[in-house]
Amino acid sequence: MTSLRTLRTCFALLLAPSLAQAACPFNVTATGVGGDTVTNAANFDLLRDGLLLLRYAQGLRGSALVAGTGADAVTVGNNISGNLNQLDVNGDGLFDVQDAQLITRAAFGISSAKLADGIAAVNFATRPDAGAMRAFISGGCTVTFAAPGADQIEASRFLTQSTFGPSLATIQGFLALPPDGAVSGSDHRKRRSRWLSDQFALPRAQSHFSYLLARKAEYDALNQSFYSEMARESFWGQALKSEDQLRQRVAFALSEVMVVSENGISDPLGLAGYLDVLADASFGNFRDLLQRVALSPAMGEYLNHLRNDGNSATPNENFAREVLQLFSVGLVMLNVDGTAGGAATYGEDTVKGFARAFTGFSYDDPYCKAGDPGYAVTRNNCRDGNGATHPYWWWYPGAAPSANAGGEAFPPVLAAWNRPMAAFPGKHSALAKQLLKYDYANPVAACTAALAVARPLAAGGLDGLLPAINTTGSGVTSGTKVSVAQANADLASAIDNVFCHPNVGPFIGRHLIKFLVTSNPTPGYVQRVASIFNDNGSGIRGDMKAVLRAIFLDAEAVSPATALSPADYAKFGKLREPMLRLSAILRAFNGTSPSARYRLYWINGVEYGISQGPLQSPSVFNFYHPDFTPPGPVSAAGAVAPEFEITTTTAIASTQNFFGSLVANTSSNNLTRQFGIGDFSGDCNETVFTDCVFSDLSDLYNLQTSSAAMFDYIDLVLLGGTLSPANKAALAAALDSAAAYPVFTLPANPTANDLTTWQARKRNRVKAALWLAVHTPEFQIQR
Amino acid sequence: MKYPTRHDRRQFLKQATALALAGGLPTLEALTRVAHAAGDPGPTEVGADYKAIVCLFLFGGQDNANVLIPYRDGDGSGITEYTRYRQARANGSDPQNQSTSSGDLSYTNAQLAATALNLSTGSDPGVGNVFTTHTYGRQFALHPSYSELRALYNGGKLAVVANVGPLIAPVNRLQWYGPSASRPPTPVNLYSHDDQQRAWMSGTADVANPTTGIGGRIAANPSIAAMNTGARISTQISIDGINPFMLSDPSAASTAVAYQVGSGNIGRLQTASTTPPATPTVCNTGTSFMNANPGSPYCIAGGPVRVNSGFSWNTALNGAFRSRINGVAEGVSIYHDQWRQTMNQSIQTEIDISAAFLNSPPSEDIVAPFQNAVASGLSLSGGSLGAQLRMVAAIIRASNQLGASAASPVKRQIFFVGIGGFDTHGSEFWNNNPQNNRQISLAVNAFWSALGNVRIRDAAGTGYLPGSAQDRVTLVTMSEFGRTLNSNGNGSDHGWGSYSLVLGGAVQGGKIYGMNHNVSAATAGSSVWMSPDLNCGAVPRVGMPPDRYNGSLTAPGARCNGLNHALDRGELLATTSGDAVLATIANWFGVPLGTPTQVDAMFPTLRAAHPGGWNVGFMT
Repeated sequence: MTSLRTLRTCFALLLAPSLAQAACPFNVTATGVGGDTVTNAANFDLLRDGLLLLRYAQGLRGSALVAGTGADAVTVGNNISGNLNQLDVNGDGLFDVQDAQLITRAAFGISSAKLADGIAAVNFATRPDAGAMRAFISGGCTVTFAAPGADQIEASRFLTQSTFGPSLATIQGFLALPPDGAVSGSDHRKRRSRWLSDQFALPRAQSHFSYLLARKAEYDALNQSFYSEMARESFWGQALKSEDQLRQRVAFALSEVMVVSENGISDPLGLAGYLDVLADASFGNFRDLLQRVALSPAMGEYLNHLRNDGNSATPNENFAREVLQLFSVGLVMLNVDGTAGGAATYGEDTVKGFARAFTGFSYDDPYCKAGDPGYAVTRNNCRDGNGATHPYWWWYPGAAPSANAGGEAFPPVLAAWNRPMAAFPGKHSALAKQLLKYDYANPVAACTAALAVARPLAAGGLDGLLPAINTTGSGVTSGTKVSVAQANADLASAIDNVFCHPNVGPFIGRHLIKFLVTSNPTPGYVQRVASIFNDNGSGIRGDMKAVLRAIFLDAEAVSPATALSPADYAKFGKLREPMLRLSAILRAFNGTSPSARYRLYWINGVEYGISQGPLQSPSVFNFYHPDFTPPGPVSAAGAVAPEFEITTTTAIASTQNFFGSLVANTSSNNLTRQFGIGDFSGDCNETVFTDCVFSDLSDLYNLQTSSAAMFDYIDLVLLGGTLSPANKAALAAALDSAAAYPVFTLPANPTANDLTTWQARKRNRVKAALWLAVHTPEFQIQR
Repeated sequence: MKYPTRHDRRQFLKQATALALAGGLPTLEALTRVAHAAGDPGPTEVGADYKAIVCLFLFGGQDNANVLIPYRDGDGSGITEYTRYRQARANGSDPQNQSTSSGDLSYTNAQLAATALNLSTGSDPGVGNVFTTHTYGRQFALHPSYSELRALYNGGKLAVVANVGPLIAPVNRLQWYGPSASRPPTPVNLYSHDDQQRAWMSGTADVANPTTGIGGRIAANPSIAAMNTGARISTQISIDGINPFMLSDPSAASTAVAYQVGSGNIGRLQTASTTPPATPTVCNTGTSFMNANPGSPYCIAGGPVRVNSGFSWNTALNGAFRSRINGVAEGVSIYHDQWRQTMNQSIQTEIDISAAFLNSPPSEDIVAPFQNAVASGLSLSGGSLGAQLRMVAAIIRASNQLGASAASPVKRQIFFVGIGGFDTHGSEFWNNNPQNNRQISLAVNAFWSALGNVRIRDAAGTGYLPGSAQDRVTLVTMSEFGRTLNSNGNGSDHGWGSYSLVLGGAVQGGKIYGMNHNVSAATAGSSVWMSPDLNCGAVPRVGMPPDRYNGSLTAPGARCNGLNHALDRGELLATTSGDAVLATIANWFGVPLGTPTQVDAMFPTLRAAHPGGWNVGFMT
């Protein structure tokens, strides 16, 4: 007896520390007297309580249950039957032998993956693996979710501005960052700065172009067609899963300013190359971005300056017009705070001048390089060693030129989609070009030098005129043709002329603010950002990192509730773009494709989709106009709300139907793997089809017994913590009402029917909570 | 077949409303199916006092030089206008040997033969205030893709208005190239796509960001609003999304606030309605949720209602959602309130349209003309112009179910449809534009045929008036600007004045209105391709700016060589404002425009653009 007692004590000593904090109701012999409660781990006795749990799970009751233990059958029975949910370690809805085994193993100190060894995964189990079970036990065998604190909500707000959507993990990751002492203000602002620095340092994991080449090889091997959907797939893969979220988000914003669309160019490799241009240049200098965009073959195809022939009396004006109007300076002179100054920025003569500047460029033809016969004279008549003329000016990356006289073949060179367009001698206009006329009073050093070429300074008789190219003077080697070097220099001067125009800072600054933070920034906010664009403090103009810091660290973005007047605060924020709402849902619950392919192909339909898709704008004017004002509360406030232009009375229903269907999809029988979303061309079923994105709802299943906890969680990760307590309570009340899906508690001896009900109810509670959440105004609006 | 009386049909409507409240997207196909299943789609008719305007916008800037094309040897002079057209568009290449790859933008006589227009006879430049330019021997063909439109023109139903664009004051070539200080004011941001789209649609080309559109002002006009008082649907319905044309003042009558429908469905929010359906139905759910059409009341009856969301109809969840979707401002965020208002409008109007469709579904006589045109190449895919106009025809048919009561059906409707792809700078000039124009001709013609099947109920409700809805609907095309006559080597660039086509039974068609410039010989040292129309007429007429009239131009047939509106690339300064075209139609529609005050309220810059009078005269 003594030895047994000693042994017990020994076990108690051994086991108490691991379970002392657990507060799991394992002490099933507890009398409730003198601190002897079911959760008192100090009184837990493995040999006694563990045995009782096992016996109960095996169906023993009454004297059979307690035989040889000295315990009271009624007490033990009540202690167990009263805590079945907490004893259900794997979350399959039952306290059974598996759970009893898991409890005794845990009590024995097994906390590794071996905890679940030999215990088959159970369908509908909320906690399918050892990690989840261990977390459950160490969490006290109850699942709670504390109402989000201010710091969590701030983190969620910021990640809504700067990424494709927050999740609990990214919020916690943000809060774990050490504040950046180099900036002033709150810890939250300091963490923003740290996060930005970290993001700026992240390399790109993979280029879109290389992703598409890999896919194309697979498709070619199967002799399958390769469509523009592949660019969409690559976009979504990076947007949803890539760590460099800031770069992805900024590149997406830029893709809506400097628009290239499938509606005009459909080669997936060209589209991928353009996505790479934007992503690669997001954190560089705006001048470099502008030149890369101008020389992108996809842009050249889209806005017609690819193969724009400078010998034409009237070169194509399309790109010239839009690069000025939409990508850089806009139609009217701007004050530095973005307000209109009144005068027109340029006239038709300037459009025609830029049209000339953008002549003579086409795909970078790999078959004619410096040193080739004929290259120096005229690339258009470049000859290979066998005397054959290649149609270089007309060369297309996807097509193989005819074999030459010697039978030498020239395979397609797809990489040309991923290279800047090249200048072709003899195709660039040698005429003088009227560029932008403006007075730049105090240009930064880079612009002083650049502007000396294009002479844009209004003072002193300078007139923005890019001089005619001298094709015959000394040092000119190309005869009567404009050389490659001359064409490139001409284009660089034109880019400089645009880049240094005083409108660019407020124009681009306001665009980025509107895509990232708020549709109605105050003039002061625009001015602060534009000033940084003009000079980052080190004499550098167009420093995109500095501009992004200015945008995200501004008081208006960090703490709008206090930085703005109540009237302006009502105008703060924006309607989240439909694509960002979709990505928010998927990222909040770690949407993952088993095959790592993200085939969100057909989402852009107005009637059955969300009216938006990557690089699928209907025109160069993007999905909506940046100054669109819908009639109603927005117009009454004198504000703009661009995204409402695609929020028609049809689209608002279609878009909600899309999100509602997504979160409530029943494609999977696995409770924790949900919302299969794929290419919609067939079943998105994880047992049949792996190319679909499944979300992990285990956190919500853990919380499903508490509507308040579920909505706290959803509010934090999906609604930016903007749901008011009253609205939150109303949603919880609706979910818990008898007409909806109140919590279903299993009876002590559940029937098979009870189990089915219990499983269905859990699922419906989670889905209904999500359905309600995505139908709130708070989900649609970023604040 | 016995048609139910109006009273009976109202009863039917009430019963049907409950059915229409289920979730899902009622597709046009499903609605048509119902028409057949029910066996009785009801009469295909509109009310006695019904009128509609359909605006068809060609996005991108229509290549006007290939809309109305000089054909053959019209004027009998040595070098024909046709030849000059070929020369002007051939970009230096031999116009006799058309080569599209060299940037030749012209059509040949052979290509134009099938769309040649009737040569009108007579020598009078017009009647009264009307200025036509089709006389004096010039002969034209429509774009070769417009064979159906050609028949409508020759049949007297389609009119052409020449050189139309946003205009706030007359301006000519000399003024344009002259000192800016003496240049008349011109529309804000000419040549910019979105600005000129807004200028066209708003009728306020003098401001950059207009807050109301022409359609919005017409719908809000007290005379028009009174005709639709109590209507359960907006006067304005767009099948092509939100657009500046239909923007209305926030304080306008609720019937003025535009509603948008899809080309194939009317935007039903799943589980959004207030009450569960009276009769449970089960639907063909398809294989994936994107294909599913569950919850439609038009599916086969016999099972529990399902919605796509995966759980059964649930009033508690639905109620929690709907409790915040109402017209009451919360005042927390303007975006919250805007979204709530839009959602509320979507739900309410969808319920009404669904109910009207259920009672007056798009029956065979509406759908068949479109379906029949598919063999000729008409696209009816989602969002296509054909599908858009099919939806317009369906809503016109349902209009008498959407009024305040059976006795007061909707009397006025404004529709907006659109087609893109007209920004033909490059290869799309030949690759896509002919097909886009083909869609216009086929879709408009099918729409016209469908309207011909819609009868007009007499005021007493006991019989029918003569004619068809063709007499009550006016369709007008518009595009933000025209384009250059000459080529950039691949296509044409932005211009200003373009053509509007106006179709309707109330249109005096078969004529060309406004000033249609002549393609002239290139002047030495210049690339002026266009000259004014050769014949000006003697009296001020719409389309002829007052600066054209001087002492030398007195006799009909006199040549107006004085002032030109063509620029160096053959693009045109507009001479007739888009406002004048729309005001002419608005006048027919019933908008009072008898006093300057009334005109200024509706078209603020119209009188300045047309000091001599603005009615273009193409409406009866």
